[in-house]
Amino acid sequence: MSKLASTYQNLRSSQRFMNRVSLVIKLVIAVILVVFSVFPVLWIFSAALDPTSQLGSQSLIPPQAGFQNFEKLFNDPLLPFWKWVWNSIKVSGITTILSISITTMAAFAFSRLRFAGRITMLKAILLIQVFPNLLALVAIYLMIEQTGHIIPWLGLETHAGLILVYLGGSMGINIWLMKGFLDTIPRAIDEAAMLDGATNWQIFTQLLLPLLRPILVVVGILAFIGTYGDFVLARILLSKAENYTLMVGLALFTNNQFAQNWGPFSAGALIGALPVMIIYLALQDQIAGGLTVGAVKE
Amino acid sequence: MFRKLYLVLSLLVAVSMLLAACGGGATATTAPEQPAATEAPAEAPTAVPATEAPAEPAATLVMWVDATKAPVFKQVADEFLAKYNVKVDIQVTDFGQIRDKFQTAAPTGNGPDIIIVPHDQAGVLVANGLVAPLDLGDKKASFLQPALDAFTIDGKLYGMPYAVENVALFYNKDLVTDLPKTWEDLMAAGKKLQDDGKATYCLGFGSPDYHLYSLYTSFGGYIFGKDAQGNYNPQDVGLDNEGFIKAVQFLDDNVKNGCLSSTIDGNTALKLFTDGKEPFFITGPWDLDAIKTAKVPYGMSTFPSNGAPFSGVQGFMLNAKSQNLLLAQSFLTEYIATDDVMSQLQTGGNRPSAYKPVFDKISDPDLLAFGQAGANSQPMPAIPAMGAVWANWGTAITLVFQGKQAPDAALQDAAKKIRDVIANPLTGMVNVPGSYQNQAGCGDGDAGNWKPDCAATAMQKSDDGKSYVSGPFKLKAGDYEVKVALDGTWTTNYGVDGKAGGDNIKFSLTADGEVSFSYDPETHILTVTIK
Amino acid sequence: MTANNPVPQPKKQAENPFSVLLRLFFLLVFDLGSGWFIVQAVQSGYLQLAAVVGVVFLLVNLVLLLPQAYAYRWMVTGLSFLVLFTIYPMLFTIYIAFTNYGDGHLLTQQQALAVIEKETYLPKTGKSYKWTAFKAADNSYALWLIDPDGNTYLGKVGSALVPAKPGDPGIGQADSNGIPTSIDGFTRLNPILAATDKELPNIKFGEAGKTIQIRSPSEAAELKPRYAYDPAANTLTDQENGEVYNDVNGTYTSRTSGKAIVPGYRAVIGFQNFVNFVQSPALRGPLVQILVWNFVFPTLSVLSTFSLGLAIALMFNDKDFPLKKVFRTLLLIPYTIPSVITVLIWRGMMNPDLGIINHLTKTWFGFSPPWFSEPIWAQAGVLLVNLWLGYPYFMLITSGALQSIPADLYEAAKIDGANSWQAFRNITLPLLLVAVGPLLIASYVYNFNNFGLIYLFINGGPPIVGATTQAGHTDILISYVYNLAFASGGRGVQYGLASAISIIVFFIVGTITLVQFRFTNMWEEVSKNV
Repeated sequence: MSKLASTYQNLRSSQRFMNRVSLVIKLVIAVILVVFSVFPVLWIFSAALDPTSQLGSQSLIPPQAGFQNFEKLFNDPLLPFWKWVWNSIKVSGITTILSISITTMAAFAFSRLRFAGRITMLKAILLIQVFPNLLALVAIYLMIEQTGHIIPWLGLETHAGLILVYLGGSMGINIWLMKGFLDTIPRAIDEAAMLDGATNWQIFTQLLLPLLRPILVVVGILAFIGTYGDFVLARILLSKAENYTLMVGLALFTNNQFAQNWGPFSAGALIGALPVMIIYLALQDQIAGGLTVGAVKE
Repeated sequence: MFRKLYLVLSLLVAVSMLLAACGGGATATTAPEQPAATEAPAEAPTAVPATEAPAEPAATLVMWVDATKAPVFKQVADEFLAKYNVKVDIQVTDFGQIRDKFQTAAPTGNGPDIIIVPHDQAGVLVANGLVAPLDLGDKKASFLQPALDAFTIDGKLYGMPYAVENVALFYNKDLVTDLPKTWEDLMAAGKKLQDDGKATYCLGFGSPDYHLYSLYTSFGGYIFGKDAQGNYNPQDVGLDNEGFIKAVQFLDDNVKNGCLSSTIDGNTALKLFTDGKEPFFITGPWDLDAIKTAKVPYGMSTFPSNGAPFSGVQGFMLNAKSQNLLLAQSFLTEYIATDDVMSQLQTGGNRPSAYKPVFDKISDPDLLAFGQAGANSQPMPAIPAMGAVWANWGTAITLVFQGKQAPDAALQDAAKKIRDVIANPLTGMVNVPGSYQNQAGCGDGDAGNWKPDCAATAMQKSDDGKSYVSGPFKLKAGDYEVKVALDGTWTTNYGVDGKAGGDNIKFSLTADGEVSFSYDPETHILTVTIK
Repeated sequence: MTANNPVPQPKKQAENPFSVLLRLFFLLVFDLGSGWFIVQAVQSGYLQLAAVVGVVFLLVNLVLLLPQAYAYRWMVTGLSFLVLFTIYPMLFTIYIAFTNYGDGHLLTQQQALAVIEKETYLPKTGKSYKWTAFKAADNSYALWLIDPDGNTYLGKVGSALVPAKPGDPGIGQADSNGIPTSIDGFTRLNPILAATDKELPNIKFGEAGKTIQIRSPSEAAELKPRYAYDPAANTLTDQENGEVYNDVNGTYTSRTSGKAIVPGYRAVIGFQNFVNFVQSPALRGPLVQILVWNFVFPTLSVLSTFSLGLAIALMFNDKDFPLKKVFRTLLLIPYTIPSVITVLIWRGMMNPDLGIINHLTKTWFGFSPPWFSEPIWAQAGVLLVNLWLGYPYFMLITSGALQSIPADLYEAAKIDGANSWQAFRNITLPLLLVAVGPLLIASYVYNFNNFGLIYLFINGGPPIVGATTQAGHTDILISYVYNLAFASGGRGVQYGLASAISIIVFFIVGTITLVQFRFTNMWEEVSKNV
């Protein structure tokens, strides 16, 4: 890299050549990284295609490869797989949208407003993450169970109740991420607007929110994956197969006393990974936004 | 334009909240509270034709079942609904979580009416007051006695067993022609195949503790000895006896010569066996389907050298808070405990039935073989100390296999740790619990009295070593009662005249004064001295 | 810090009347809703729930009404959820640390007494019968009873049992079991259909004082409740033999025989759990060794995952990189698949005899790393797997955070003659850490307690030779002590003890976090200079 910099003054053609070389090197590195990330996943494919439901790691192609596990997954009336996928997408999607709004607004206050207890609150948010909340499940179960007797659509077995519980985590560490991002956006922008008589709300919605797009997407994906991958909370609040989220449903195949049913689990895990990957693929351009002071001032 | 974006966002929020409310709105439906059908159907259940069953079931039972057992129970439930118009709602629950989840849900009255658990979890559920005792009536005689024993706690039956499970010795018929009589034969046969390049290992197994228990028993090892009544005696740990050490030495020799793998696990062993690279494989019913699907030519056998595996029993237990206890019991005793349903459960579950009429008629060769391999099996101990046993047993074997410790040293370490856990930390304590203790520093009010484990009143050996003494304690005037208790518990206690479990010893102080105690361990008599 | 860097506050503008109205309207709706909820909760006896919602009620009202609390209006929703679903459960955990909650003491006193009071016994003079239920058109029942000697009776509510035989007037003929097929005015019920009536077990048949109740499908008997509870003395008395059971730390225990009634209940036991931990063998084990690894593991985990994630993000920050979307998506994969399965896959790949990784190293270098038996290799293995699991998180975060760094800064640096490394060192890294710094701490904390990975991958192994407790070279504090409180402790699950331990762990990690927090203050300062 430093070499690259030293050739800065050189001829353009030579620079183009160097760019090529560095691109090739980068490509090679990228391919190695992809092998590192994807190789273990190939074994999951292998397990998904193995009708004996084993999780082997000796031969990549199982002897009687077939799609029996997928059929098992799709056709079991007791285990409505597609319903689980839909439940997961619905719960995670709603949670993500709501928690982004909560996180972003709180981060704005922490970054742009000065108020009593600001630093204490920020510290507290970090400290709360540290607490090993061992019996949270029991406490939350009791709360939701009792709430359900008063407001049935927020009780056990409801996705609305589950979403509420997930929103409890929205005042989390992502506020720091968002606040840090906001801190790097020069204050000059708001000051100018403020002189023009803009309110905080206008500054937030009209000036800053568009600039936050990259980090909004990142926080959104993080929140989505976090909710989508959870099964600890969901499985304690949901008991009926038709209400399960995908991860709770898939957990049914593992956790047998001595043997696990890895075939359908692997098949389900692979399909389950798709929504996240599709979302990431679609939103990537939004992350690579690019913020320049000049752009802001135009 | 930004305003638009924001509008869209807020709209999304609003819509999503609505969605959440509607989508999740499936309220937890409780059993429809319809009292027994006004026109009670006739005695003969078949008289109610399935097609004319009313839309609303007369009652609903909820049952938690793990995914592998769910299909067969769903079928049973459908038939039950058709016959009796009682719905059994089969809720598929993740096996490893059934107990934890039940313990969270049951106290609030939300749990299922019936759960299916292995017998080694029964004791804890009873201690926690979450399950109700159950009466099998005349049907009791139709169950295998050991299976009933497994669910009997403090003399009361808490579960209806339905299947027994144990491991058996699987072998590959292409590789093995003569079944080995001893473990030495087995390893020798395996070694030969390995040397010929036909086998990766001589024997596959999931873990060197549970799965190989039969090997340790062949050498004379055991985990807990048994008392006169045939119950496990936690004070008798056999993990470091001569037989156990020999067995581990034998295993280690075979690891060192490559016959066994020290890092094998259930997944790997199964894979090697189904690939035809392992002549012998010790496993249980849970792997049977995979082995069948893989079409490897397998046979099953009892263990060499008369080895005895552990056995487990699966059974139904009733939620103590269930609103439908009588119905749940009737469902179990009148419907499940019948030849038809029990044999259906046996076929669907790959495990021999615990119900005698079905067990006696097993014709499936695999189930028969499991039954034979488990004929001399020992029930898995269901005491809390097993947690310590599993952890330390596995560790000892690992250390031996890795060459870090010799078998005798490793097992003695492990056994010592288990004994430490089991031993009462207060063993040897002699105490005088009574109504004076709250004045002697054992706590306030009533809660500070009658504490056999209170260190403040523990007795010390007297100087001559012949008796135990405590005090003097400064006490207010009044009447007092005391007893002598050993080991910090009430298990062994002595009253008036040194009688075990006898009446309380009484003394009175007319004015404030000092009291000391002296106890004779020979006669168990307590002497109270008042100053 | 605000003193020398004043932040302009919006000029005191009169608040838009529409927005005031909106705010008050929202508050009204909220107050009505939550007020109704609190009343309902109190009426149902859910006092804790009512209290928590009450706190939220106060919080929202204060924030929306007090002008000083203006800034908190921006986060009032988040704060409410935080109180409900994070703070309250934390308080619950702390409370549990002072109780004996766990196996044997799982229920509240009320729940335990309800279970105990259900216990019944058959008095010496009492009799037990086999029963068959008959139901009349008016939904009343009659029982056909058979005593152990084979005598048969007809039992109805409120009148003494009548000896009866099949074939008597009004009673039909016997079936093969000796039970009449019909009784005039009644229909015979099959035991299952009879049991669908939840009230049946509560109906008392026979004359007062000698009533018979159905206790199971095969038995109806003259049952009496076994225990009588005296709320004043908090004692239970066995009605059969008069034995009195006193409450000893949540277990009703007899002072004469020492017998205890099952179940016990969750009682407050003060600092006993903390004392037990201090006296427990856990502290005599290799605690120092475990603590050292407990600091090394998260440090190296965070460093490695952050470096790799950042490197990838930087590499793909280049606009011209071919297929970069596909590459990035493939690199995200480890984050999208449940670690329950991927960790086990890694386990398999690293199997010393059969795993593909060891197969390759053996072929290429003639060496098979002993991942599961040598401490140093086991630790390396855990770190490698954690790198795989964790780098996509930092890839995501840093690729987002990188966008906040204005491109003009690089232009300026270039003009000043800085090379790429200097630009990275002096611009990228410090600015990035503003946003990402706290997440590094969070990640550190997460890994400090990363029980799941350690347990799934290697279960704390390889074991430490000669340790006085169950401990391994990759055990971290949480896996080590939880093992003692739950699995190998030999006393079942002790939530009270485990909560006490987690509070102690919280103080250790919390202190570290606060110390590290000073660096984040530094980071905040950095941003001021932009």
